[in-house]
Amino acid sequence: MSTDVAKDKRSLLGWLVKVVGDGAFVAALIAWIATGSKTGTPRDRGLMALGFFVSGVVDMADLWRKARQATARPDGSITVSFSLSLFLAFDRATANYAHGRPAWLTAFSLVILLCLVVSVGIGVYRLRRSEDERQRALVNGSLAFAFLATLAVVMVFAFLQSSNIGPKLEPSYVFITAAVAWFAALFVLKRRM
Amino acid sequence: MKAKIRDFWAEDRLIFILLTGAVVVGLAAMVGFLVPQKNRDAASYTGIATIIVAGYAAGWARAVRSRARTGEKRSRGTASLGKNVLRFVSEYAFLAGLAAYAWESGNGHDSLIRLAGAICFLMWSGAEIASARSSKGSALSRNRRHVPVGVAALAGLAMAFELTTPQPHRSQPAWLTALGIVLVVGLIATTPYAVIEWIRRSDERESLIANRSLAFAFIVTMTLVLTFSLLEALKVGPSLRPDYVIATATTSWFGAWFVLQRRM
Repeated sequence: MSTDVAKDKRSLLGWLVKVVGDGAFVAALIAWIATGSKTGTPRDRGLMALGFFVSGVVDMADLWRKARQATARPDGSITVSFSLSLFLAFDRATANYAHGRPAWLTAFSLVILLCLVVSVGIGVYRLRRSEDERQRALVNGSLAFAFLATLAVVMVFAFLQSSNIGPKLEPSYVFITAAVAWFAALFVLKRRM
Repeated sequence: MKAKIRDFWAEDRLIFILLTGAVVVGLAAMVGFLVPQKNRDAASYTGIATIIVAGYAAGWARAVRSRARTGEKRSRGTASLGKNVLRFVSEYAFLAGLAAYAWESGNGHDSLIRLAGAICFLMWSGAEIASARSSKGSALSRNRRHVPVGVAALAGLAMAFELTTPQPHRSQPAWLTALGIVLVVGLIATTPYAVIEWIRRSDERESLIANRSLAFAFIVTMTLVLTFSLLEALKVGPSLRPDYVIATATTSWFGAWFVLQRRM
């Protein structure tokens, strides 16, 4: 939901689409809470995923619209966009049933995954558009540091794998290293630059 | 915009068509369209290799054509024999390594070809480093852009390591695995050295290119890891392996560096 409503110029159709997207999110959330800790039937999970997915796609379109108009923020803050709705949709669509997952649900999950990758691209585009010179230097420097830290961890795991010792590389290890390194570098650079 | 597209079409039509064809064939091979189900794994590697080799060949063809158009001649005769050998190795060893990689990906598992490919990548690395150091400030260096020492070392080691990693469902001799261990130790040891040297020696423009290319590589690598992580949750496709991450990181970094070097 946008907080700067007064400044946001949307057409009537845009507002209607946004209302539909937010409504779908709320409906899916209520359905999820009502389901509780039960796995739920594939149809119910598919419907919940659809609700989150619609909200995610509307958000993505809105992000794209804002990215095209974006300018550097006067307060110097850095905006990182993150599509929660699409992650929730993916979570709802990936139940592992004992008797196997229906093919249509797997196909739907793959579509959500594709949209997630696209939303990452749009998020990066928005970030690049809303930066001034200093912000750009901060983001590039911190991302470069995070990249090297992550690569070092992956190489250590590659070594362990080649020697047949130690644990296997899990995606979560890469994410944790990347996130910690990035935020730490951003924090330090913000104070120094 | 239209004028740019028209110019591009007039200048690079042939290369564009060839590259698009290679990408289509590569993608078709990757999804197993042209091969039976049992060879699907090999097909995906062949697809990746086809696209890489085609991209390299297209860039090469473009450079040759551009040289022919401007009438620029290669100054092989003015350089010493050693420098000519270095230049030859740095131009063709990488291509030979890629060819070995493509061959190995599509035709099973020959350890000697993998070893030869790894040696080619290491030779390319060594030649690039030696060439950059020996021709600093000379006429030769003005005629040609060198890959930074750190990038050459890391890219060569990473590609050689990629060729020595054990493939799923295939056996591998112990000596090749041992070579892989040596290469990954080399990679770990070289990374801080390469980065420090690159940052210390680079000027304002170079450090901007370094940071931007590393940032781009980070985003591409994270997107790959995110995709694999979610595919794993779906139980679709292979699980994440360190060599996938290293290959993606290296390729995207090198690609971004190459593009930025030309554009900035």
